Amino acid sequence: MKLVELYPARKEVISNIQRIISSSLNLKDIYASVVNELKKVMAFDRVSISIPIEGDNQAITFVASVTSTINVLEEGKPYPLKGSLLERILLTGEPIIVEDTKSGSHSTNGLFYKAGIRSRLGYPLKVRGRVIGSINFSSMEPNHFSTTQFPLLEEICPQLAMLTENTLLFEKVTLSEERYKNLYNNARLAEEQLRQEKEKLDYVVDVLGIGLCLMDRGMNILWANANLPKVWGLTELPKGARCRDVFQCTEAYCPVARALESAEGRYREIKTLVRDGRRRYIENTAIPLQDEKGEMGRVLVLSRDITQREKRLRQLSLLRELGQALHKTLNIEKLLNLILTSVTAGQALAFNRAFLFLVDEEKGSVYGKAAVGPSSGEEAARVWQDVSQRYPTLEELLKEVMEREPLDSPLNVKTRLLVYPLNKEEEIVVRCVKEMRSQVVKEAATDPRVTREFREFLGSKEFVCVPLVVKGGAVGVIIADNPYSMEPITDDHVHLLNIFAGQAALAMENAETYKSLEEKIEQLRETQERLCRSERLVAMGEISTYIAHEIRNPLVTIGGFARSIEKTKPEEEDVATAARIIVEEVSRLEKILGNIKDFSKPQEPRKVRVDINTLLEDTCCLTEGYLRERGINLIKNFSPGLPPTFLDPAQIKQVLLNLVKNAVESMEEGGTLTVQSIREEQYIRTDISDTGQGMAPEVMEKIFTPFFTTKTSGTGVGLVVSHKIVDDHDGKLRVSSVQGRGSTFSMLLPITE
Amino acid sequence: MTNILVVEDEKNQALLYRNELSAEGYSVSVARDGREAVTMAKLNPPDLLVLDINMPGMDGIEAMGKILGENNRIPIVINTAYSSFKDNFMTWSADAYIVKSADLTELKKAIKEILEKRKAQ
Repeated sequence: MKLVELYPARKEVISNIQRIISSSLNLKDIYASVVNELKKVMAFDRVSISIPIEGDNQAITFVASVTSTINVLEEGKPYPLKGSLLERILLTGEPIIVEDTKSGSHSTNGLFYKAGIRSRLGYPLKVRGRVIGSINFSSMEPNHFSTTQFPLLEEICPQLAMLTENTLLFEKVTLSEERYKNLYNNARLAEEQLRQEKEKLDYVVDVLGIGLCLMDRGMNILWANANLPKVWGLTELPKGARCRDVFQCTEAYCPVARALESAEGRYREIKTLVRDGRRRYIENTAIPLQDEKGEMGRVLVLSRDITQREKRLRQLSLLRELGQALHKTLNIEKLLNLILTSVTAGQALAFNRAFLFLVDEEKGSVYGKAAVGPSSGEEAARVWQDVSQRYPTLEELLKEVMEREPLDSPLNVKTRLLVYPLNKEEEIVVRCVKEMRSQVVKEAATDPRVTREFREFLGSKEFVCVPLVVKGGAVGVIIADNPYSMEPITDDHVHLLNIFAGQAALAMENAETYKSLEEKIEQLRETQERLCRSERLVAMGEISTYIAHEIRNPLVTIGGFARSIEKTKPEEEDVATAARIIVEEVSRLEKILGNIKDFSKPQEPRKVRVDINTLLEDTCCLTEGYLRERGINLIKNFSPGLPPTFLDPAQIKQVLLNLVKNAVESMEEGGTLTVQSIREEQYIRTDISDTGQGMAPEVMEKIFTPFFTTKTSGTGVGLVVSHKIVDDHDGKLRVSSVQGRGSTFSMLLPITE
Repeated sequence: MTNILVVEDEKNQALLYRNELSAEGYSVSVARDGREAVTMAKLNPPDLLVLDINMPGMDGIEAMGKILGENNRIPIVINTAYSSFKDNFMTWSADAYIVKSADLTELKKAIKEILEKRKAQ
């Protein structure tokens, strides 16, 4: 086909192609339409468009048209740019004709030759002078293409190039758009996830009530979450504030400073502050963080209100600690103070006030013993703050309480004025003692257990009353309430207070026992002292008695003879005077000697209150061995419930021994001795009966005569002395006897009121 | 004549009693210790015994027991420098206690009363 002949057709083709390109078909359709037009004016077996892949040494091919089954350079699959026709065109910007692929120098020639293609034509696709790719024609005949085709290609290629460029750009854009869309979607997803995570975190932070804040090196607050003001009771977010202004720091220990210093780890402290009249415990945890420069110049502070947790945790170790503390003192006053302090200490049971009532068994009453607690809300806030700062640990506080004398607060004085008789059971204090159960009052105004008087005394709506129980009896009551913090009294509080009350009661019992022991020891010491003193006195007495005796004897002689001389009425005046002087001086000396007490004179009976049966039992005990030796049976027959009598136990025992001895001596062959006690009108009668030989009436007459005896041994004064002793007791000694049967001696002692 | 036996180990004092009681109209014999007193009382039982209960050798109380074992009707006046009663119940059977004194009025009065009481019985 001659080009000239083709000219009109060419013009038409060109305009058709322009139309096709300007239509909005996709690239492949456009290529196909363009190729169809070209076919009208050009002969070829294959046409393709190759485009280099950006930033890569590869190219991609769009096969526009193939006449036969030529299988070369798979469409859309990248192939190496190096040595390809495109590479050459890209470098030169000029069209290339490969006359015969058999001898061609391009790397792809071999492939084309194998596929049956012998000649090729590559024409650059340029946009604004830049090669963006090439359009490649192939023929199965060698030397098929010539430069004569160039003008036509010159006409259509710029538009094809533009189209390709645009399409590629569009594709790129759509691709990016797609990618961006994906990215966007992903981002949105991520954001959503992030948001959810943040929500979760916020939720956790919120639920845990954790206040967060970030601080810089200068310990200024850079950022804080909404919880922080809640935890610390601030009115606004403390951004930009100084750390220590917000956290009410003392210089002693600063976890933030520590965290900044060491740049690792975690630093905790627990702060106590009073808010709305309540004590709060806040735990600060400082964690060092990197700043934007990657240096450890930031600190994250987590503030948690651990009041509840803290209370729980402390309760456990608390009871143990308190138990130990309570056993450190045996001084009852200090112990009571310790108990009340434990009930009110913030680090301990943390009640606002505590009252102690004790049972007085002797007086049959319950009385106010002591109270601990502030008198007003203002005082409460001040005192609690002060105490928590001065005594950070319970141990320190209790130690101080031990050493300090209790202060007499108005509350204490008021409490001590209260006394309730133990039979006034409408009083909750008495009820608590009687029932030995804790009483929790929620509404004092309407609770029937609370009397008006007590309600007015206490002045609080809600309180708890727990008994101090020892060995099954209540020795007192602790009352505790929270009128300032208004904190409700929970079962937990009551439970804890109950356990503590048990410990306290035990400690009180110990202290009381110790106190009475101490008193006993003191008594013993005093007795011993008295004994020593009297021993010395006795020794002195013995000496003086001895000396008195030794002096008195010669004095009797001297004075006696002087009196004799006086009586003779001597004529010589000098002799009479001398005798008178001797008599006077001797009687003066005798008077002095008379003042020296004789400790060994027989004494008046020393009467004490005695149960006669006990005395009889004692006497029988003493004589049992003696009776057994002599083959004598002893029968004891004591009346129970005899009233006690006043008598000198030593003297009456002497009488009983005398009577027993007499009885035994009358039973030489053995027999039975009966000892019997019985009431006889206003007397207690003790009978000592034997089964001996008895007495003849004439003997009975004489038995109370001194020195009368029927026995070969003995002095005969036993019964006389016995009679005298019983006489001294305003009693009677009687005897009855039947000869050959035995005798009975009866001692009657008056019952005295 | 009423016979009084004085048991006294101090011879000067014994002489005093002899003189003073003789002056009162009694027949006075003196024993120097408990053993002598028992012998003398056996040979010639006195109407009354004045007894110092703190003597060497046989104690007055023992002597009293021995003498009264023979004759429990002899009244006894314990005349002592008061240091030897102890808790001896035996002494309780005496008829009188006299604390020794240079003034013998009390002793004489006791003797007189006891003898009058005996005479009355």
